[in-house]
Amino acid sequence: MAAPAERIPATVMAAVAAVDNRRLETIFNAHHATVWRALRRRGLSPEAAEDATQETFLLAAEKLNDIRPESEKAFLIATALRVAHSLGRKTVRWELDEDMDQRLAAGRDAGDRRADRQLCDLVLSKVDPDLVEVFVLYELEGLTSPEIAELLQIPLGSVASRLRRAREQFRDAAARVEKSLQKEGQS
Amino acid sequence: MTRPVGDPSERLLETDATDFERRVLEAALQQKPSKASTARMAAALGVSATAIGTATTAKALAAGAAASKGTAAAGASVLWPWVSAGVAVLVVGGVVVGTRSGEPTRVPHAAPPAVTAPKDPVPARELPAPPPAPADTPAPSPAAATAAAPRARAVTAAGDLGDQVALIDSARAAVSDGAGARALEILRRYQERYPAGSFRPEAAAIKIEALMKLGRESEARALAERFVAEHRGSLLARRVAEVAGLAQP
Repeated sequence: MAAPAERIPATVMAAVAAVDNRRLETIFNAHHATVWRALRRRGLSPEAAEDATQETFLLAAEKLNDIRPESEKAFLIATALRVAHSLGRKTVRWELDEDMDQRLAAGRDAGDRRADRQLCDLVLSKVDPDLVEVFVLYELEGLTSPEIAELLQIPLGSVASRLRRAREQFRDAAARVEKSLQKEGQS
Repeated sequence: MTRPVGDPSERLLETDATDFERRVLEAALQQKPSKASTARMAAALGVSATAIGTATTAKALAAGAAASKGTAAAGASVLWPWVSAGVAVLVVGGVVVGTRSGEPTRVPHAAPPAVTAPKDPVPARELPAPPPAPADTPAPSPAAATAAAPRARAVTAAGDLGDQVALIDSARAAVSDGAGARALEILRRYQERYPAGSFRPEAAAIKIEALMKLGRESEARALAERFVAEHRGSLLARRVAEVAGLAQP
């Protein structure tokens, strides 16, 4: 190991800190929304997700030199999931209130972002919770299968099969929801 | 995106998603933290959030450099937002992270050095932060600051946010430079301008640190005790306890 930190000249430490800060800033701006989303999907409130996102980046800052640029996102999501886990929360995904369908019907006109998001929650809530995580990480967050396997500590084959089943369920659910919206639109 | 071996197939969005599926999937990606939330996170990390459009990077860098320098010279003193050297074990949210010994370790907005992991690392985290006690600051201007005003999340205009971030950043930089009085003055301005601001807890924490720097320790401790009680379990509370030399929350 290198010399104790006290012996490293202040100017060098300042330079290291400046470079690290630059990188932290870059990855924060590139990925904080992804991290925050991953935490929200674990059932954290927006406020709790904010705190946990902050913790995630603090941990990342600590290991900045160990993070390969091409695996930043996977590293951050993995860290976020550990942080979420440490919060001791049950893994709650897509908790929906009962009147979701009504509110959806009320605001379903295209272009309404909020309605679209509820639509999204609704469709994803119909996918098996064990499968949906793989689906979201792959389809939305753009992680690769090996990254997901590593992240969730499951075999690569399981990633593939979960993803396949998740897709089937997602497409089924989307078709059903779309149909019911169309029906309502006509009535 | 290249497709590594073992990937089952192209992503739905890139291939044969129906219009409706596409709409659903794209909506998922619209979910983002509010601007105020992003600004708070960036400020806590000592970085500049591009989405908010402030020019705080230089200041943050300067503060970081100053802090690193100070720490290297002064040894154990705790500086904001950088803690260099001396940090042996970092406890964040119950996760214990050993730092690479011998390397300059920088932890923005850092956790205290070598504390024992709290029994319940994250109590009451989901509860909205209570408003910071008003008594600690020169009489805040009117209505907005009154008792129940929750931490103003997502109601602030982006322009305000940039200004708020800049004020908090410069207060923090002043503390890092050892200019406690200047920090207090900046915080007073912040309090005046944004009685219900998005960074009141951060401002209160910096104020405590500034008071410590000025040798007004009993004042700082009193504020710190209240702060820790109100923000129990938060990173800031841990930091404040550390700065003011309280037992860990």
